[in-house]
Amino acid sequence: MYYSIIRRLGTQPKLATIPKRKWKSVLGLEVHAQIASVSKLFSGSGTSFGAPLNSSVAYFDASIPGTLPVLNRKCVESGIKTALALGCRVNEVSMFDRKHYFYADLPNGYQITQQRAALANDGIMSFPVITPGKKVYYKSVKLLQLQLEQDSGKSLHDEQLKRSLVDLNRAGLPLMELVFAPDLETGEEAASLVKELMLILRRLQTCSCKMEEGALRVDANISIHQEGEPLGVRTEVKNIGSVRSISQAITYEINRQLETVANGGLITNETRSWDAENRRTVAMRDKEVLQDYRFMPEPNLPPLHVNLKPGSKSTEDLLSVAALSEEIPELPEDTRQRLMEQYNLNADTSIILVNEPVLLDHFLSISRSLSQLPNKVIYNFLINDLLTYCNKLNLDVEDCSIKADDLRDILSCLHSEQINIQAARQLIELQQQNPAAKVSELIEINNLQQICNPEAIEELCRQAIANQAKAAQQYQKGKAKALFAIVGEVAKLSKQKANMKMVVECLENQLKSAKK
Amino acid sequence: MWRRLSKRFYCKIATKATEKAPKLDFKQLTHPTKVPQTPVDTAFPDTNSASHIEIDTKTIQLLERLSLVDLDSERALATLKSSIQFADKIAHIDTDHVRPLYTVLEQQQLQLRNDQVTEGDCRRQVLRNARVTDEDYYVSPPGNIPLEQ
Repeated sequence: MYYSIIRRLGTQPKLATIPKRKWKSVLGLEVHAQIASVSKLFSGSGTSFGAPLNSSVAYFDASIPGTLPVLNRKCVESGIKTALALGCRVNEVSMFDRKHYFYADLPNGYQITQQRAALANDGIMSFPVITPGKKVYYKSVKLLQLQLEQDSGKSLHDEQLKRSLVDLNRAGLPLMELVFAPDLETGEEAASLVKELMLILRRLQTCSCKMEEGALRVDANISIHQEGEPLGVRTEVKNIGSVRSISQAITYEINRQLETVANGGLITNETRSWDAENRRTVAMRDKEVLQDYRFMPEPNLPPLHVNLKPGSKSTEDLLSVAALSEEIPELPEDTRQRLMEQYNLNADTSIILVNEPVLLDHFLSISRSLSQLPNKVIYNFLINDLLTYCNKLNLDVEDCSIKADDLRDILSCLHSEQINIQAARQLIELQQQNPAAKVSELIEINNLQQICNPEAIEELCRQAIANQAKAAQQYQKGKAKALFAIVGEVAKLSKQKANMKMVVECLENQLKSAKK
Repeated sequence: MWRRLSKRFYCKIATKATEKAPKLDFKQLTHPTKVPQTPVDTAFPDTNSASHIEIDTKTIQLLERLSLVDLDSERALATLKSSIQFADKIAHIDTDHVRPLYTVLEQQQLQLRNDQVTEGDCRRQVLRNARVTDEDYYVSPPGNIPLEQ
């Protein structure tokens, strides 16, 4: 209302002048996850990433007349397991349909998908939303549908020669399409949803989730509207290549829509592509009218039946949902609960550990082999020291070459007061640079042992007091804080190697006796 | 057992065949033919003589793009119109409360395949179908690309 008055007056409203609070963004995600399988969905050609051009192509994938689809059992199993993990209702009968469109990398002129009756519907997913600088909260999103479908081939666009180069290795790869309800509001929520989904799919081993290989692709439908009014026209953002760019792309698109509306423009129903390099969305050359996919039942595939009876077993052509449900491992949210109950971790710590599977593995293995060590010491070291070190190097914890055994050795040296925390931090760095070296060797070579010899400590303290005479006087006059300056001096003198607990005791003794 | 029976049966037919085979009495069969012998009232409204079908140019353009069929000529357009007229009958049939039948194999279980690599590695053969190729790629006209590129 307020905004339309401004427009009528003919002034140019800037983004800052619109009451942004009144605008709400709504977004829904569609995720295509490539099912981890050896062969394709309907043909017996291979699925390995990076295979030579057009080599993993069966006659069926190239749409040679006379070929027929035969459904891959493993793909159905993976689809059902994923559906069960996400709380879906698996349908007793599901059907395949043809979705038609003309495109060079779709040799059939149609994609086999599930439109009338999908494999599963009506799931729900809860996940922690992590926004930098804000409190973690849980969000629930409905999963409307989970369907099996084929992937298309891959096109490379040759701009100079005005042509496309097509590789059909990807044509016919098995995908699960997960359609989520538009229950999200921010880019961070979307990124957190995808992060949790990846954790679940990896646990189930139904998808590699390697976004860089295109094994998990996210399309976001985004619209804005004013509170109390119907939803606005939505745009679809494709080509989001990493978890990090999910929130960037969505935040950009929400702001672009707000700005467009603020400048008196209209949002059109269009497909936009995320340009990661320039961090913006770009309109794609696309259909001007709503595309008519002319869905029709796939005549070459009878309906897919599954056995819903409890306690049933799978047979050659009839899969049992009950039998598959027994194969589902512990899911991330269960692990968080277990960490909180069994190891006494707080919610935030368990979320961080579960979200970084490598840290979780380290934590569990160290905690098992060093049971005398308090859990707090272990997770603090993993999160505050190892994770911080990796973040500083912009390194993925998964690519960090330090083994759990090395970390355990560092922690056990730390616990037995052989080394102090500074030395432990240094060891992380040294271990990363020399993955083959033993922790004990590194301590030896780099002379990192903690100084625990009482005489050496006393000598260091005497020197420090002499160097910081003023602070010593202040401390003796009752200013307790002045001790920090002297402790710092000892640390400097000993090159961070003195046992600080002993130093503090020794200093207190020396200063007290000097006072007397 | 069965073989012996059928052998005997075969012999019987063989000996009979030398005689004149009696004509089949169609009137005795419950369903002598699948084609109705008398006209059946379909209750279809006669759409052939119904109002003339008009298609606006925008729809024609859309259909041309979807089907990749050129509808520019008089004859093509006339064919399209008569096709619509013919198919229009179906729209008037009452299908309320009737579950659609998609395939006669509805009760059959879909055959499943084990997840094994059994095909592929036939690049030379599949690429032979393409008119233009380049370094093991199929070559096609440019496709859907960002506008500002």
